[in-house]
Amino acid sequence: MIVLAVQALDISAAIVLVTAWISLIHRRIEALVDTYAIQSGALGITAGLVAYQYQAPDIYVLAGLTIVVNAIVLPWLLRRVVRNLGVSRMVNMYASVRASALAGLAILLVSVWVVGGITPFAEVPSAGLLPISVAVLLIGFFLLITRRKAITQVVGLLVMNNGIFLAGIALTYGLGLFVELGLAANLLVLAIVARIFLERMKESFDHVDADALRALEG
Amino acid sequence: MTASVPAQLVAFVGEYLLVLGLSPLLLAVLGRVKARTQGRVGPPLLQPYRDLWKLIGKDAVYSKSASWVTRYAPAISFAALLATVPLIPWFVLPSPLGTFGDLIVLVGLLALSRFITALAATDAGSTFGGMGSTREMWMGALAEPVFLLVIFAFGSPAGSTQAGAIAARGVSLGIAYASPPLLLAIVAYVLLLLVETGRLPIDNSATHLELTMVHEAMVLEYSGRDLALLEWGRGFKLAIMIGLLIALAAPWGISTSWTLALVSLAVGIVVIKLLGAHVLVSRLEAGVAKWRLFRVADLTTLAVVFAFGSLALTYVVGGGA
Repeated sequence: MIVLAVQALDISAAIVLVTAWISLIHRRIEALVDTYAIQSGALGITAGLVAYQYQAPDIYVLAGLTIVVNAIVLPWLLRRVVRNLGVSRMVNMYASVRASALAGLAILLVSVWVVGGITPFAEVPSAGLLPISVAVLLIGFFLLITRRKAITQVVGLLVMNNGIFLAGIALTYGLGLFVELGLAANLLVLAIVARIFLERMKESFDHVDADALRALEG
Repeated sequence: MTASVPAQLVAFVGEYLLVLGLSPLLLAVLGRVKARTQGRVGPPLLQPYRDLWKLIGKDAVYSKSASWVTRYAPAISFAALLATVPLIPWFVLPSPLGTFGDLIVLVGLLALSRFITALAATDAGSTFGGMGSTREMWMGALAEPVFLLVIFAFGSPAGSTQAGAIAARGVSLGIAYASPPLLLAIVAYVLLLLVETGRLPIDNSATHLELTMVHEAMVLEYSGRDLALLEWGRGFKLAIMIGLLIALAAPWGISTSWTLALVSLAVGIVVIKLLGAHVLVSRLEAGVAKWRLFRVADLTTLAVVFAFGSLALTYVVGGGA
């Protein structure tokens, strides 16, 4: 039974990686948000499997929280922002779709190469998740730096957070309930702040392109 | 366990009957599910058989400027597709004649079929034919290397490029066969399948719009029996690609013994799996619009990413074969 749980854990972690890659090719913001929601759902299931494997009730709480906050509430908030802003719903990017996809592959190879060599974690059964979680973290970072609109940068930050969460549950079976609760609360605040910020930005400049903020008004 | 020669022969013929006979029905199921998703009724399930019967009864008409290439191309293309059937384990392992070639041969045979169709399209000198074959060969040049990479992704845990060996490993491992590298390889294969068989974001078989058609532009010059072969071949190729996916990704249910009861059960299972996979493909198709031609490269790039990622996970994380 434990072997099956480890296998299911590996596969749900792979789904998190797959969705991170898919988020690199989206050209519409809504599709990006939907992919993020699926990724968070897979992450919640991963956390639930870790909880089952180690019989840890506090990770069950985290898994439920991930599904509710990251997979339902945050995407709902982001979709509302996209709809209410009334700006173009296309993702503007510095790197082309093809370059982004190949960068995603390079990120996986680098994290497998770098993280795979860390031996102290080798005896943890779920240590195989570490390269995947570092890759997800770096893909989120890549989204953050190559997408121009503020809202897509928020999504990049959220993907990064998913990567950190995956690394946390893979190695330490949860960073500790209170730390995670604090993180989740921070994320929610971040999303609300981002929403207010975006709406103010739209009011003042009539766009949400972070790149254009460098130019002086008037 | 090896079987007697007559039993192998029966299974061999059975594979052909299954794939050739079922492929028009599978195409009809695909069209029907798509129509239902879009709120239409859709053609009856026997329509492709009626279309084929009607076309087979008609004489082929050739352009005056067409050479022998036009006359023989449909038969060569169809024969190349026919030759791929024994390479895939459909319902019994080891499959009869399954060891006469590996999946690299299968890619080569599909390339031959593609090449001869494209060549024939340029033969009569019509503008649309040239346009269609340019696009087809461009997509082929993108798809074939990716196809090989995907095969290596599926094959490296088994240490073989033979579909039979890969499927046998899957059957013997049971549920433990499912792993992250397999998941990535499956996603890569599905992306590739859309390009290779010309399904929706890539090519729309339901229209003859000059600006977008690929396969339809190539077969525009054909009529009667030849058109029947080409159209049948199109559905047949989809069934082959999906059958290969089933054999590589979910081989559970393929019989490893030659008793009649187990083999017929396996035939039933493979029919259900084929139907299910076609329904999934049509749901996928109903959800997307046709893409700009040059975005095909985006799709194949993503397939490379998944296939290569699968290989990386197999060798580094999973420990390899």
